[in-house]
Amino acid sequence: MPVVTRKAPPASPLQRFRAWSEKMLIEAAQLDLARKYPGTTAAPIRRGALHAVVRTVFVTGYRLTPAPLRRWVLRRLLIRREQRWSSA
Amino acid sequence: MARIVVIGAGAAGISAASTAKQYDRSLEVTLIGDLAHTAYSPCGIPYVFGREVASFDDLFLQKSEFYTEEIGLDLRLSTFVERIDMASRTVEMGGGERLPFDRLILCTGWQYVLPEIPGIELEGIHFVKDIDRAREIDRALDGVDSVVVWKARPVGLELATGLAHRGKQVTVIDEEPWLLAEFADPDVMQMGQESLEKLGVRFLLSTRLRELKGRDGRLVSAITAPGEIACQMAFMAADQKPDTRLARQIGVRLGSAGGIVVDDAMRTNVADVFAAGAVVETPQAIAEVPVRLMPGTYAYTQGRVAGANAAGDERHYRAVHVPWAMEVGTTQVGGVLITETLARALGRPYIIGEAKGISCARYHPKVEPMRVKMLADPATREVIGIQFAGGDGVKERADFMAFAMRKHATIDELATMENVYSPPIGALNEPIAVAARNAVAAAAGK
Repeated sequence: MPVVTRKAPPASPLQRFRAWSEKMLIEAAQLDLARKYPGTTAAPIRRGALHAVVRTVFVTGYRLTPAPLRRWVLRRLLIRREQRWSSA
Repeated sequence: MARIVVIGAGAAGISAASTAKQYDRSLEVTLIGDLAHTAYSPCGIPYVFGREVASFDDLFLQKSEFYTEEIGLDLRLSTFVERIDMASRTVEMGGGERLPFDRLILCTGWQYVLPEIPGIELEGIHFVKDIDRAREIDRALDGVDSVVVWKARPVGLELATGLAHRGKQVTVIDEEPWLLAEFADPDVMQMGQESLEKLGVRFLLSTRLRELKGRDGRLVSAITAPGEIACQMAFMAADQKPDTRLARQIGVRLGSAGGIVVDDAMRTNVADVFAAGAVVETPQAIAEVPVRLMPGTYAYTQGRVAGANAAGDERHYRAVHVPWAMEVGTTQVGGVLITETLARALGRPYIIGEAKGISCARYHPKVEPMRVKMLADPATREVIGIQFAGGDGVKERADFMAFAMRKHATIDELATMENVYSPPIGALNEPIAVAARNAVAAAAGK
């Protein structure tokens, strides 16, 4: 039978940073939506005090960064020049 | 005679190879795949399990002979590619055969990441992808009463729906706090969860799967914090990662999402090497970041672009909006990215317009709910995301909105959109228009 699973391939520092930062931002957004729409979600999984502090610091810093600067950093970090495709 | 070699015989690969050969019949086009079959829909497997589709044979789009005899491909299935040698421009396959190429298209797709859960090696634990394996699982399902589905992702929920239809006791376990958390908001998914619960599916959300326990090498239960769940099978909707082994071998550049970086002509950074499908990163038009692992529709269309361009054409793909839709229980859910969760995560401002509409005339017996949640940019008033939950018509609305968003449709334009009214198939007030009108009101602070 062919193999359809494998161990996670090695991730570059950029890939690890993107995965981690997305996880932090999405977790924070999920907590916001759980508060906004009570009764529609399960209680968030407990991840420990250190994790919560790190998430709060990172997400607060992200949200306080001016949007144009955030966008500039995202584009520089995550998007290669050849990936700027038109959507038209 | 120039030769194109396509590695990967899934949707992107079969599309790329067929398009290249049809573009220029003088080309030799070889398609190599490690599975025994090509041109089948793995997405249909849960529906055969659930007996909505009668047979696995029905999942095949074409027989292999169609591709070899009518299209004229050189098809090599059950063939593993060991390595690519760019210096000699050859592909080395299992068994030592070397195949020369002038242009190469990587359509190596994705593989499940093996989760680090104790007991993952037990018999009875399945990762659904290969159709021959699915046939074996289907036969074994007759002797199974309870199953666990790990992760409430699209394939997980399709499996849960199918297995519930087949009368199995299904428990879905996920660390996420709601279903389809990557695609939809919790208020939208409530209808789908309730629908699956009515079919008898049990959900353990915000819950880690700690261990899979076995006896005599076979699965007997799943261990979570709330308790132990007896089960004879577990379906793992595990993380999927692009299969970039060969790409990395030859120095093809990978991006921040772990997929192959291509330009809009599907070219990689290595000359004469193209890539398409689940293995590449595709820019998402609203979030503006590259995403990966798109559904099969993207694989087919990207494969066509890669195949045509490898054959000498100059086609271009575009950034995507990602319409999606699926059945969850007896409910349909769908939408177009981005969600409110994602907008919040990205820090994008938005206004919301919602509608609790209906699918056709209120008095008609076919009437079903159609809930719409629309997000718009407060400055430009362009729609940046939408979600639907309800009955028939979700897919068509998602398709329509993906196109409307490509054209930068505003809430003002959608508020006055034209719509069909016909008692059995269309309501007087189209729910998308109602949601847009509510968004206009929200933008005016009403």
